[in-house]
Amino acid sequence: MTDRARSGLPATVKVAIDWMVFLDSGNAQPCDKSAFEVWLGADPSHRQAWESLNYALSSPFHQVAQAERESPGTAGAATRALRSSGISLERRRLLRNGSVMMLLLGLSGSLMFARRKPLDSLLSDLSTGTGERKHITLSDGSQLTLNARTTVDIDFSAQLRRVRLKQGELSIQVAADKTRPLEVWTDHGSARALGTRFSMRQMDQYSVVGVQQHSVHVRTLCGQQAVITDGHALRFSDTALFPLPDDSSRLDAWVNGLLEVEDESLGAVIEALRPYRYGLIRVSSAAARLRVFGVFALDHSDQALQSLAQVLPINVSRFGPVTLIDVQ
Amino acid sequence: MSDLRGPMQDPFHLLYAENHHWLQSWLRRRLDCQADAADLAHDTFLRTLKSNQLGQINEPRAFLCLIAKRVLYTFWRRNELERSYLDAIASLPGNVAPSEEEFALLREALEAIDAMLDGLPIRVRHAFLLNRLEGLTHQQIAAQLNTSAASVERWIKRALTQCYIVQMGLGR
Repeated sequence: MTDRARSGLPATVKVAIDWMVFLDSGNAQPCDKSAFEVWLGADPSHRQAWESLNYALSSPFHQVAQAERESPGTAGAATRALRSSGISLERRRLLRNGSVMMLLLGLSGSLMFARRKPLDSLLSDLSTGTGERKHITLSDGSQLTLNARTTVDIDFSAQLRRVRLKQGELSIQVAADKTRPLEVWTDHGSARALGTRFSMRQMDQYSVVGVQQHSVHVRTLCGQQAVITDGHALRFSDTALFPLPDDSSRLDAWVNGLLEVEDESLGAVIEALRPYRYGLIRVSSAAARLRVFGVFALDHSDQALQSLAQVLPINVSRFGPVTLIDVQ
Repeated sequence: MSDLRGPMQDPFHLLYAENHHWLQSWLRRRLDCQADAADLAHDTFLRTLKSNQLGQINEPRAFLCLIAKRVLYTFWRRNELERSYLDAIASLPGNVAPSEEEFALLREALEAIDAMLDGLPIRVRHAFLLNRLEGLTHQQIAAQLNTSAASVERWIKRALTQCYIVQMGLGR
């Protein structure tokens, strides 16, 4: 059973979850079921964990199962209704369409949305908060660096070294091990290396990988593949690969606390600064299109904004924790 | 009549008296229906009261706006969930219209499941639902979602863990 996430949970509950996933996988044999019975009887805490898990899942799922028995097709309809989340784009726009007053709001409420650590970080092996970078030496000697607001799980076995990038950005100097490749996984796919240095960043719609040494093998969730050699970078979604201009040497400048850009949009620069700032930054779309050149210190994002305001035709205004950037 | 000054000094009454009309028209501009706007305005005040932050509100309308957006979001999400469920039922062969009572129970269950899965990526949700609600095996799900059984296992585990945490109230 893989996935060593969920470190915040009691060990017995994690084992109970593993059992539940396995028993409902369609792969469990009669002997597995006996093994499960043995586990269940081995300690009162096992049964307790199993029951609390079943209790947590019971009522709503049973309700659907019961409705399915009465009118077949209900469960399928429920799946179709529930598989997408959120609300329509049009309504989302209506919600976003706040008055200026919203922006002046100096309350913790709105900031919580931006700064809240996702539920994930509770379950993950390693994470960083706003403005924080971390260097970690993994058990195989690989050197891992996490950028701000990043969450990863580490899952090493005898066959494979797996690092799961759940959000944010990492850079890794992989210790050579010919028998055990190292893979970094995002929601969109994976990058596989034997011994090399590369960086990876996860965004909503795609991931970016940049190689600083040797090469890595990228594979999207849907199976598209590419080999990237040092000095090159690639953006990929779960279904497609998009090569990027050859500037990947700079993609991991953040490891040294720097943001290096050459002909990058202001919008992208602000995106990179975001994990280093509490509060909100809003950039108007006209300002976001401006092109930027320069080197900025991530740990002094206020200064970075100041120097941007000196060289670009923009106004940077502050209202408490909210920063607004617009063209002059 | 001598009591009139009393309630008006209470911060909540004051907040209500000064902003209720404004909030209702703010909501009305985003909703098609006056009655919904009135309901949601009341919801918003109720939540404000429960938030225990009454004493610390500097910008009452900004604060109400924030709460009202959350109320609106929940209202719309519930609405869309119900509609897509009914659409799915309608597209089934045969006649499986649920009774009023069955539907009320089921709607609650759907909302509870939706809340448990909040924030999970779509593929994770989908894999979990196919397994949990429809009883598909990891292999079958992998084929349907065009992925590997190992990913399916990982996704289901992630969803199950989140369900546990949400249900046991460990998330906060």
